[in-house]
This record gives sequence, C-alpha cells and structure tokens, in this order.
Amino acid sequence: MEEELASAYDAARAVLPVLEDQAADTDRSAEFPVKAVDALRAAGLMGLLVPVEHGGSGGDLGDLVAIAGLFGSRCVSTALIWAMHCQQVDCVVRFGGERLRAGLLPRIAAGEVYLASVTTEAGKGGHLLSGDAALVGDGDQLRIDRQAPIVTGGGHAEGFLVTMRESPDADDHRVTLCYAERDQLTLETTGEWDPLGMRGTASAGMRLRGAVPPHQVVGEPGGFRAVAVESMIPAGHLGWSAVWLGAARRVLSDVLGMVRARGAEKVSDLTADRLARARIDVELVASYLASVRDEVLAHRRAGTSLAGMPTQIHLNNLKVAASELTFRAVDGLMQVAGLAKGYLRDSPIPVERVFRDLRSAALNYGNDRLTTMTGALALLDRDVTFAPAGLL
Amino acid sequence: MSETPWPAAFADILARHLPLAEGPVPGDAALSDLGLDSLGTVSLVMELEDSLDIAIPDELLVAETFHTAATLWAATSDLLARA
Ligand SMILES: Cc1cc2nc3c(=O)[nH]c(=O)nc-3n(C[C@H](O)[C@H](O)[C@H](O)COP(=O)(O)OP(=O)(O)OC[C@H]3O[C@@H](n4cnc5c(N)ncnc54)[C@H](O)[C@@H]3O)c2cc1C
Repeated sequence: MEEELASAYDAARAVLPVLEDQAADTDRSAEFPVKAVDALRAAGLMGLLVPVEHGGSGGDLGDLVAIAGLFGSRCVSTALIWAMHCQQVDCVVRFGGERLRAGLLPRIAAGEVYLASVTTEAGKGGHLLSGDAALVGDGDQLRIDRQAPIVTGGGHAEGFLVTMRESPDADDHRVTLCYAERDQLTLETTGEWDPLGMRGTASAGMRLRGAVPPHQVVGEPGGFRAVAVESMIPAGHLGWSAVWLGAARRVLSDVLGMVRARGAEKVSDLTADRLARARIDVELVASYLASVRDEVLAHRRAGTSLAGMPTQIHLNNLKVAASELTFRAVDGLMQVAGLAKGYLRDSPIPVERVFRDLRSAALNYGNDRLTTMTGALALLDRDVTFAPAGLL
Repeated sequence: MSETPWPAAFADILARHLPLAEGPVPGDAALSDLGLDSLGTVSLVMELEDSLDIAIPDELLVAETFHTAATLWAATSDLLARA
C-alpha cells in the first residue's frame, strides 16, 4: 500500500474515539458534528479519494468502503456526512475539468472544503436524473436559483455540487452538475431539521442563489447522467451501505458482549435464534457489499463503463438490501437487548439511536424508486447475470 | 423528406420511445439525447420483439446496440434477416 494511503488508515483509526464521544450529544441536539468533522479535516481524511498528485491519499472506492464502515460503527451521522462528501469528491476527480480539479482538489485534501450535495428538488422529489430549476447563462456566468429541500451539512459546507436543468429551454432530463463555492452563493435556510434519526446530518432545506463560471461544470453540460452512472451512484451506494453495515455490526457486537456478560446463565434458544438471524443479515450485507465493490473496482481498473444492465442492477440491489437487512438486524437486536438495555435513549448500548438512524436508509434515495427500476431492467437480463466472472 | 434506410414500422416504434425526438429520427443522433432512458429501453425492446416478431438475444442488450437509430437498425435487420 502507498504511504499516503497507509497513513489515512492510521488516521481513520485514530479519530474513532472522537466520533464515538460526541455521537449521543450530536443525536440529541440534531446539530452538525463540528468537532468530529474538524477531526476528519485535520487528519487529512476529507481527501481520501483525492489523487496523490493533488495532495490527497489516492484512495479508491474500496478504501471508502473500509473506512466508512469503521466510522459507521461509532457515529452514523458523521459517517454518512463523510461518505457523502467522498461521493461528491469522486465526481470531481473523475469528471471535473483540469482547471477545477487543480484549484479545488488540493483544498479538499487540506480539509478546507467540505462538499455538500444538492440533487433532491421540491417538484421532482428524489428523482436523481431530472431537474426543474435551470441554469441561466448571464455573460460568462451561469446563474443558479435552486430550492433544495434536504442538504446534509448545508450550513457548514464550503462547497456544493448542485444538479440544475441545463438551460431554461432544455428538457428536464438534460441535467448539468455544477460546483458552487459557498461565497459564490447567497444561502437561505428553509424549514427546521428535527427528524427521527440521522439527526447529526443537519440536513435542513435551503435556497441557493448565485452564479458560477462555466469551468465549474462537472461533466458535460446536460450530461449529468454519465456522472451519476459512473461515479455518484456507485460511490453513494457503496459508501452508504458500508456506513449502515458498520453501524449494524457494532450493535450486534455490543449485544453479544451484553449476552456474554450475563455469565454462566444459559442462552435461551429464542435468544440464540435472534442472534443468528442478526448475524445472517449482517453477513449477507458484508459479502454482497464486497462482491459489488469488486465488480465496480474491476470495471474501473479495466476502464469499462458501469452502465451495463447487470452492474446497474447489482448497485441498486446493494442499496436496497443493505438498507433493509441492516435495519432488520438492529430491530431484532432491540428485542434481545430488551427495554432497559436497548429501548431507552440512555441505554448502555446505542441500539435505540442506531435503530432510528437506520430507519432512514430505505428513504435515503427511496427504495421504491430503485426496485421499480430494477424490476424493469431485470427483464433485459433473462440470464440473471451475477458479477461477470471474466471481469474479476 | 430525407430517405431512411429502415421501414416505417421500425421508425414508428422508435419514435414512440423517444420523448425528445422532433420529426424523423436521424441515423447518427444519440438515442439517449432523444430521451431514451433505461426504462424506455425496456419497453422499446419489448415492442420491437412483439411487433416485428423477433427475439433480441441478451448479448445484444448492451449500450452499443442502443447508441443510435443506425446501430439499433443494424442489430434489428440482422435478426429480421435470420428470422
Ligand atoms: C439522512 C438523509 C440525508 C439526505 N441528504 C441529502 C442531501 O444532502 N442532498 C440531497 O439532495 N438529498 C438528500 N437526501 C434526500 C434523499 O436522497 C431522497 O431524495 C429523499 O429522501 C427522497 O424523499 P422522498 O421519499 O420524499 O421522495 P421520493 O423518492 O420522491 O418519493 C416520494 C414518494 O413517492 C414514492 N415513490 C417514489 N417512486 C415510486 C415508484 N416508482 N412507485 C411507487 N411509489 C414511488 C415513495 O415511496 C414516496 O412515498 C437525504 C435523505 C436522508 C434520509
């Protein structure tokens, strides 16, 4: 392993206590975990995916998965904030123009820029590949005026990747992704953030107004689909799934510790069954995550597209399966931990908090949108292709 | 009107699945730019198979086949010739 990458893993392990210590307070206050994210910035971890020549660690999506899992075991909100940031960075690394990359990537690596994501929009809901608000050309600037109902860490981000319709007369499927600096925008917070879980993501709504120069477009104008398929979706589904898996695995580990601490008392068959079911769910997610990760990494190494039917189906299935199975595992573990040790806010094991956090997983890009897509795509893959053997 | 190398039946089916196409579909325009997304591809395949009485094998169900009207017609006409 390269030296930069090895030290990123050391740094990631070193910040785990910081994440752990603030997790309960962050959840209670529903405020952005400034201290934890500052620790990630200082440790150079915001630049995990930034190439070494731009000052980063030069990590790949496999490294994202590994470290997101570690973070997810300590504070699900901080972990998701970081994983989503890395997802945005991957888009800039792979699709940013030379000028944008040279200016922005070193600042990301230095921890100066946390990148937030603006894809959801009021009129179209979660649909990723369409846009309502349009970029308006104005001299040599592109003007933005965009409602964003849910922006993780929007109040603390130094930069935003925003999807916009290409122009006022473009079809709503012609979407342009552009980078905007905080000081290129006037930001207005709209609405409160008081959700069931993932409270530390501080994902309140915003209105963004401002203008950016054309070199801040990421990918081709109107060509966001390619960025989404090759970068934003794979990095997102891999990173989020790793976070959820890390969280469920930690709860399982804590509950096992609790049952063991009961000493010689025999474990009932019912408890044993529940522990086994949680273990099965966690194992299934871990192995499928590894399989889809390897498929994506192999495509990237070979320089081939991720747009093929089977790969798209696998990436969608990963997100749906990870969101459902990790939540189901923690739900079952709540029953094992019981009222006093599991259900209470101040339980010794954070089952209650993680349960609330993981309930969001099925909504964080709605599973219904993915399953309806996957079911239709499956009709074009009668062979039911697993990860292509020739690729791995 | 410009000549197209494919029959009207093919052109009609194709046009129904391209929400952004205005008028006859040029052979070299990217179908994705004319609004063909992955779900549109699914229904396009099913209608081509049904109306033209062909079976498109899975190995042709790749992005290259659906790149332009010309690439899709090349694949379709091969299948028609073999039918
Ligand atoms: C913790 C968290 C952080 C987030 N951070 C961000 C962020 O930083 N930036 C950002 O842009 N977004 C963010 N999101 C938004 C997220 O990615 C989704 O876009 C959003 O949660 C979708 O909201 P929705 O369920 O209201 O919308 P939709 O997905 O639009 O769904 C609306 C309703 O339609 C139903 N539905 C959708 N499709 C179908 C279908 N085909 N058939 C039947 N029913 C269907 C759904 O079940 C739902 O009831 C975040 C979400 C969460 C939970």
